[in-house]
Amino acid sequence: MKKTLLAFVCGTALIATAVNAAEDTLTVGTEGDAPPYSMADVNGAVTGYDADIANAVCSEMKVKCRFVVQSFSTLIPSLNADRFDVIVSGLGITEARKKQIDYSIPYGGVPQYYVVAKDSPIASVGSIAEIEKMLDGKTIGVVNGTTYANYVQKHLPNSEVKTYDATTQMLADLEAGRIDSAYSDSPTWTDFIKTPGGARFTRVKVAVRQADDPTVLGYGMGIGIRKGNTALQSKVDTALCSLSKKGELTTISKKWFDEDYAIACKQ
Amino acid sequence: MIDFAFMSDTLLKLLGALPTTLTLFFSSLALGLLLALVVVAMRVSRWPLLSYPARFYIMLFRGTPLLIQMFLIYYGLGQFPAVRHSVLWVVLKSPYGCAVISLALCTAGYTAEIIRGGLQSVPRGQIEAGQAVGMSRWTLLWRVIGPITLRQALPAYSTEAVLLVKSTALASLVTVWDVTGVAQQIIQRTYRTMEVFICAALIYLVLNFLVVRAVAWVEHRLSPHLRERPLGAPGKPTPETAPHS
Repeated sequence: MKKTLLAFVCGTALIATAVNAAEDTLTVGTEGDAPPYSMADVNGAVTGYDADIANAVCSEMKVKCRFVVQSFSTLIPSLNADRFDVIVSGLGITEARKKQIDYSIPYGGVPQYYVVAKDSPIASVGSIAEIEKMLDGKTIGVVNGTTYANYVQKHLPNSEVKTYDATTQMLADLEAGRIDSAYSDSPTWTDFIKTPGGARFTRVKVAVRQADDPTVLGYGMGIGIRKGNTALQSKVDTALCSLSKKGELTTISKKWFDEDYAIACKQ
Repeated sequence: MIDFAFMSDTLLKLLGALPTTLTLFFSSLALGLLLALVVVAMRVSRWPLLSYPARFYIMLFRGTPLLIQMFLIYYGLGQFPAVRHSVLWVVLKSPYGCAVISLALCTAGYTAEIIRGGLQSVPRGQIEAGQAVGMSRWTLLWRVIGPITLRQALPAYSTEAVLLVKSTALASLVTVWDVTGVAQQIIQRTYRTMEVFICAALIYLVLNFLVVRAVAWVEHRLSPHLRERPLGAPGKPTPETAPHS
């Protein structure tokens, strides 16, 4: 009898500890292969803009962040399959995605650019309409599952759009000359152009901003939360608002992008 | 709840990518078989200068993951300016070309060992009998060794063919628009993982069923001595002539 009671007490204590530990941890889904947003090392440690945003939110919520690294296109299905609590992966807030998941308030918004070879005539063109006219029919690289992929498919209907599982794979193909251009955000190109392989390339002169096509590009980056999890959504929003007011979102943005892409909290 | 209207629409879209999957499969199967014949000829050679490189090739391609081989050929080779400026770039620039090459190189490693197993199962007596009736080496290979090897290797080779059909799905990771690649595109737009992958799985299932049936038919054709013969056929006792016990 004593043994049974002891086993029961120990079991209950273990379960309570596990539940408590789970409550003190926020599991974060991120890509881990998209510099400078999120870079996972061999030990699974994640660094980058997304990681800093997630860690800042976690410290505001007084919980510990645990990262789960997956390819970008699998993040939303995995969130819905309860594999993690939130997505922090430069996830644009779009109407299409809102049917699948809920979002926090936006915390940042970055301009996007096409990248072409330095000697390309497109490099000096001064209007986005003209750039897209010249690129239509060419081979363009994008990362699978992103708003950028949807934007290119919509605006360059005659182009061959090649989709990649990771940003690094797209950059490798751009270097190799398998694609004529690629489309992504400003920070990706800032980092890429500094590399030896990226030195032959340049961003086009004109940026595409979310306001240019909000239905596709969305309304800034937000933290993805499972539908109906209003308690967590409220906590995350409060944390982001607090970080915004303290100026931490701006600090993180400047640390990784050298520019302030933070979106101020309107609450 | 599964939406069957969406699934039928998805199935049609995926079937549009089936020719790519099929050409990937048949191209790499044919190329892999040709390469395997060369590798196996080297492997069974008495000259170490031929047999050791073949052994190394088999060990290399059977001992490393196909995905890594594919990435090395597609992303790896593309990093070298020497490769990009060579004649090889005509093939290596295209994702399809890289996928076929990596699938063929990999399947050749496995197929070479399957064929070698078939060769080793040819009874020594059969070869000696052929030599005794004055068959040349080529006639012996064509009339005795070849058919027996083929018959012995077919069951294992059908398994390799099935694995190859499934391996073509990896080509989507090097931007080939095969059935899996199109499935991922549909998921990207709809987020309906379950229905889309069920449709893709069905296509691969049917494809593999056909491969297995085709190989079984070839096996049947090549093994007349193992078939059930009708009563009264030569060599088969009829009820009247059958010995009574």
